[in-house]
Amino acid sequence: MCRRLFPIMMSTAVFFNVAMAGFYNGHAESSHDILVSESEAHVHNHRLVTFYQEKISVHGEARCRFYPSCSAFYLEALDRYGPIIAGLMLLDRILYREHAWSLSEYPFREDLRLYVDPVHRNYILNSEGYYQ
Amino acid sequence: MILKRLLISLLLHAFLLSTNLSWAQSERDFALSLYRSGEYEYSSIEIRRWLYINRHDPFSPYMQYLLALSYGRIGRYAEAVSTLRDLIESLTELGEGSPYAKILCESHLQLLNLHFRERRFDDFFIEKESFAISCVDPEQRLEAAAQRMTVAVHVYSRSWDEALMALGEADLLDRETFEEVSREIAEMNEYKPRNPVLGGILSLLPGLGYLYGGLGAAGLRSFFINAACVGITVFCFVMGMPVLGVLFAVIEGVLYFSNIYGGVNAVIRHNADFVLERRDSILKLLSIPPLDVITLREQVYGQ
Repeated sequence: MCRRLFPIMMSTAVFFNVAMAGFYNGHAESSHDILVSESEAHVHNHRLVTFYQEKISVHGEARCRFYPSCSAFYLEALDRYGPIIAGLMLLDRILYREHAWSLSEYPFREDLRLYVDPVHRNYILNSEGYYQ
Repeated sequence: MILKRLLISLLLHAFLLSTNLSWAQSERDFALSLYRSGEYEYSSIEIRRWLYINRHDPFSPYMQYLLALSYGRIGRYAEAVSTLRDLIESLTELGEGSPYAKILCESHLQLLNLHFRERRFDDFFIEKESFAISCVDPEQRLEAAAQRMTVAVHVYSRSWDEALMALGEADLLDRETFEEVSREIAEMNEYKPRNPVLGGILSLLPGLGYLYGGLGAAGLRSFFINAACVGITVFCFVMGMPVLGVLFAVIEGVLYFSNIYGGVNAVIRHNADFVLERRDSILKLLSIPPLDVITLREQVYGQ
């Protein structure tokens, strides 16, 4: 239970953090398929997720069954699409789709023993990304 | 004494001359054997070395062609393309009646192949025109391969109408394959994808959008998570804890939006996965030529 609960809490915290800070700073750049400027929210969330990756995640066994892992997925989405869309993408993945029954929908990479779910195949405003 | 020295010197010169003559041949064979054994990284180095020394050798166009193929095999597409372009330019300068007409056509074909593999379709069509101009009467195998690649380009870019038209002109050798490909392309032409907007509207009831997008388990999960969150919010308000209620209401709002996002995403993804699966099966049937010697085996390998 704890194993599942932690990422959920983490993602919700990150989402709130991002959304609030994004709105507060007026930097809620969400729907551009480009690297967004480094707003305070952006830097803050990078720090938060990097802290999770470097200090917390490394001490346990690998939890995420997807490649890239949820935190790496979030960081990439944050860089590419901004905090709001990245938050929605992360919640969609971590809460709803990352489930044993849904995994057969994703291609499996034998060398990593993980299911592949890249960022570009989750951004609904980029129709070509789904065909890559 | 002097005669003896002269004789030894002559013998030495004769020996060195003979080894020098056979050197070019043996170096070429070595490079060829590396290429044939699949050591493309090393063969590219050896061939480049051979070409540097023997650039005016009559065999050099073939070696340049193999150099481009070696680059292509190890994923150095830019270098492969530039090598083939140089080769085509130098062979075109020789004009009609040159003994290198065959290698010119095959170089054009492999340039098409490289553009296809790099997914540079604009360059592909430009190159196809120059292939038609330069190779007036290409071998049937090369022409068929070029036509198959044209169909594959249209299939890859999901232009099904154009793919059907190109297939009509294509000289696919196997009749059964031809019929199977045309049937699959016609099916894809009539395929009606699921509507992402409908997926979004269905997601207003949490989970239905996922269900419509083919992710039943995610749909169930979404429904229960959202229902639980709504339940807790209502419970907080009923029990007189408005601050906690507002907090859970905000959380539910975020979860609800991510459910709608996920519903739309599931539908788009479902459509894309279906198209990708069919596209890959059609591309397999079309059998794109390998980055290898096709019609020049006799000239290159001597067999």
